Amino acid sequence: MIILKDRSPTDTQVEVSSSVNLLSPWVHEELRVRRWRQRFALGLLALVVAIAGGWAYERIVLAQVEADLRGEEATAESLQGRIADLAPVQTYVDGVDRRSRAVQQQMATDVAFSEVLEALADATPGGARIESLSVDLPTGVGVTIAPDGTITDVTRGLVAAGCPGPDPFAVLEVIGCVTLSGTAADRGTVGQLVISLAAAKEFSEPFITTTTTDEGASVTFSGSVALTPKVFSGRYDDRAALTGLSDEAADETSDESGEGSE
Amino acid sequence: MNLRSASATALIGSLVLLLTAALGWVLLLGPTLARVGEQREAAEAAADRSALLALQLGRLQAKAGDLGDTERAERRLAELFPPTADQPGFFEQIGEIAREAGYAPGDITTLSPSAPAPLAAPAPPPPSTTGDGSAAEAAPAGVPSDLAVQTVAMTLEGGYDEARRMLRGLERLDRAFLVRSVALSASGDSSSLTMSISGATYVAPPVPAPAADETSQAG
Repeated sequence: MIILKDRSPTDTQVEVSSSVNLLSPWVHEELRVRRWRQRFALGLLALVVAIAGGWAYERIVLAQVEADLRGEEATAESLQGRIADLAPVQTYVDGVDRRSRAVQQQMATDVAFSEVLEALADATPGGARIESLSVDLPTGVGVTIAPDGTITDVTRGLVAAGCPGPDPFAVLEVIGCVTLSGTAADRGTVGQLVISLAAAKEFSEPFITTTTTDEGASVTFSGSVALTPKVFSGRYDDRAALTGLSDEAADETSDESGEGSE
Repeated sequence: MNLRSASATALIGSLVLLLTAALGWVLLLGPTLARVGEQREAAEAAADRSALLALQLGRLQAKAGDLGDTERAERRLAELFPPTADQPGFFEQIGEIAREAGYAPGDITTLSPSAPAPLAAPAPPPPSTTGDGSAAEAAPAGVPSDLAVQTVAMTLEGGYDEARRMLRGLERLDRAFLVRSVALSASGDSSSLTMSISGATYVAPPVPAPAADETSQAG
């Protein structure tokens, strides 16, 4: 150590250290390479340990997940067996549901003819008498019923043909045609009948095709009037009311059938 | 390049580390992770399926435990669409509503039911009737069906009100009766009307109820 003394009044000590490296540069390089190798060896070891540890952990997780899967599959198999045991119950409930749908399908076009006769009687003015009538409902093309039982087709597949009307351009929803004939005191009474029929919700497009008088006596008339969808009875529209089973229960049954068949 | 230099050693060492990491991922960690993912998804799907099956089983057990509502519904449906034509019962029902409508027994001049004919499946549109009351839309022979149609033609003599009440009675009949045509015509100068009705009733086989031991198996 060398201590320099300054001439300044305050003493200042400056320490100077020095060393002399006598190793050659290639030895230094060799030492650096050795240090790098040691570091990489340690790093490689750590990496291998990390990979092995991660792999071992994942194997443990995999074993747990596979055990869970086997457990769930065993549970499902057991449940399926118990459901299979109850298959007759499902078949019975499905059969009853299918029967209720068949009833609704077949009877969807049920018409309340008693209300038709009642409405016709109400529309017939004093002095007029209906002596004959005939209505023959056309064969429909089948009504589409939604799974929830609703029917969106207003005419339910019944399309009336050959029912004349006063307005050739009118597009009307009618399901049948009533041909009728009778007698009336005069043609004015026949006109009142036409007005009353047009006003009734059960009828549409009344049209008289013939009026004849016999030596000044009463008028004989004949004509037709169309039936509107209002005359559908609707008695079989509500499956729940028909069977006492709720639609929800029926839908559940359908769902289960569908799921069970998958 | 001197492979014994520090820079070359660093480069080679880095490459070895990268290669080791890549091999570790490709050969060990990657496949295992993928398999864990697959198995986990399968386990979740199996759990969902078990939950669904448990729900179904619960509903079925509830149904099996209380089939009363379903049996009542089946009885009601069997009244609407009986298992056979049951002509004695049908004649009795028609006679009863005719009496209630005001017709005398002799006023029912014609009551002609046809033999039930199977309908094609799926359910076709309502049958049209011909003049003799036979089914025009009966299914061809050999078509399997669980529904049959029976056309019925009847003629009654009475007044307008009786005709209306008779039709009301048919609409309220226990057995479903689908009226397809109605014709009324006056008989001479009297107020008596001849009413001709044609319609259809349906026949369906009964739905067999499960045996008692079948309903208690999965309790």
